[in-house]
Amino acid sequence: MKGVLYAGLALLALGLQITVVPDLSIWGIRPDVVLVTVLAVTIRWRDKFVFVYAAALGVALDSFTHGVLGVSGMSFFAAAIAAQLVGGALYGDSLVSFSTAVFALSLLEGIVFVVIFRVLDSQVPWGSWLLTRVVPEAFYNALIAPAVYIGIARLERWTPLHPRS
Amino acid sequence: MVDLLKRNRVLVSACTVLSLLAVLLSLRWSNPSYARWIDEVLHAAAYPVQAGYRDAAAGMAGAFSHYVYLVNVQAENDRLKEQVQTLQEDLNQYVNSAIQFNLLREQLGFLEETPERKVWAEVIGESADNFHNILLINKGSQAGIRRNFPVVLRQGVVGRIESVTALQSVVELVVDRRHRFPVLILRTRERMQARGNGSDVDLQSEDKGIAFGQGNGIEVERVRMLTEIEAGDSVITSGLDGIFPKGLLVGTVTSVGREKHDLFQVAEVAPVVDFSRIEGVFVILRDRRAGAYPMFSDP
Repeated sequence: MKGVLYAGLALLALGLQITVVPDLSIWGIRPDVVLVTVLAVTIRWRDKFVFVYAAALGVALDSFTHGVLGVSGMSFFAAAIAAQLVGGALYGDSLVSFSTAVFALSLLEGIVFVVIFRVLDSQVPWGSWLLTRVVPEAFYNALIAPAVYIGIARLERWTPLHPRS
Repeated sequence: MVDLLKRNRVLVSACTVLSLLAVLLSLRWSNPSYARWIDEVLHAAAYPVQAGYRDAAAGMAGAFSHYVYLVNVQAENDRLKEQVQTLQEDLNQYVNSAIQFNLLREQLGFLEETPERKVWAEVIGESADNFHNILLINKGSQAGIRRNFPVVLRQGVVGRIESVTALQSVVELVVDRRHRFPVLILRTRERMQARGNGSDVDLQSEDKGIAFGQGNGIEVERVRMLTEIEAGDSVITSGLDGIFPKGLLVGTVTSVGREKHDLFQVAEVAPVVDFSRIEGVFVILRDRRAGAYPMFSDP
């Protein structure tokens, strides 16, 4: 059941990212539903091996966006590990704290992403990417985080065998 | 040993995942052809999923709008509203058809007036993140499309084919930072180097032909200080890269940056193509045997 839930959520998040998210673009910035889902799952379900899930979803996203394979995988992995490390101490069940956490972790994920890109290619304008891409995206992720959080909470109610039960 | 691994299985798993990701990333440099093969396999696997998602979303949107129209409508009004709706939809359809007809007629004119062999492809997807500028089109190697073939519209240059599978291809737009190509100013024909809009450029590494874009526009660099260039000048492809034919319109200069101590000027260019409204594109089928290979190495 747990595996089905994880796989279903992954397919749903990737589907939304491909179909709906491009239409939610504001000034060229799109939210990252896949990342928010990974963070929500990490924070709520506290699964020890969630970083494997995060890395796999990152690679899948790299494949769909035709980026450098492994970059999102690495950044998602780092964000999931960070969420795991501080999750228990920092987050309650409130939407505000979840949104704040998503903002901070999205920033971290974005920084890791840009740093890896910078290491791979010295021409990447990491300064401008941080300001014009990473920060707005983190803010956007924080805005959609409550919707994802509520969605996952609903899902838990419908499926008694979810990892949190 | 086994007990130790079992006790630390979380740590071991984390290290394994990290190592796999590092190997995946390093393959791009240690074995580029193998990395490209993995890319192509994953992209080929992703295409049908992406297409399926899009079709499902379109179907659901249609079903939802139909449901919304029918719920909470009284019987008498329902019939009348439906009639009005039908007429309105017919009208919209006619208007849309007329617009599409005009667009296609324009493109058909372009198709007939230019000598290159082209194939028309519909756009079926776009980039899902904030760092890449790509389009997915519904034609692939079965239609004769190969990597690095130029993608154009009547208005001007759109991009190049970045990867191909049998039935679909990925177009890397000219505003993507990975994209770099030589251009000419139409007024002065001064040769320059155009790249996707971004900052801090290492001019020494330009021979690689690798650039990453921010997606907002095009920046033209390496314009000699003596060149007279100003806002409003047109920028066209020079054809020196072996990818784009010479003379395709790229965009219009919007601003020029020149500092006294610099060797070159830099110009911001607004692309002539509105990438957010593209519904279809032409892929120019180039003859590989005629030496139409790109001058710059592939990323």
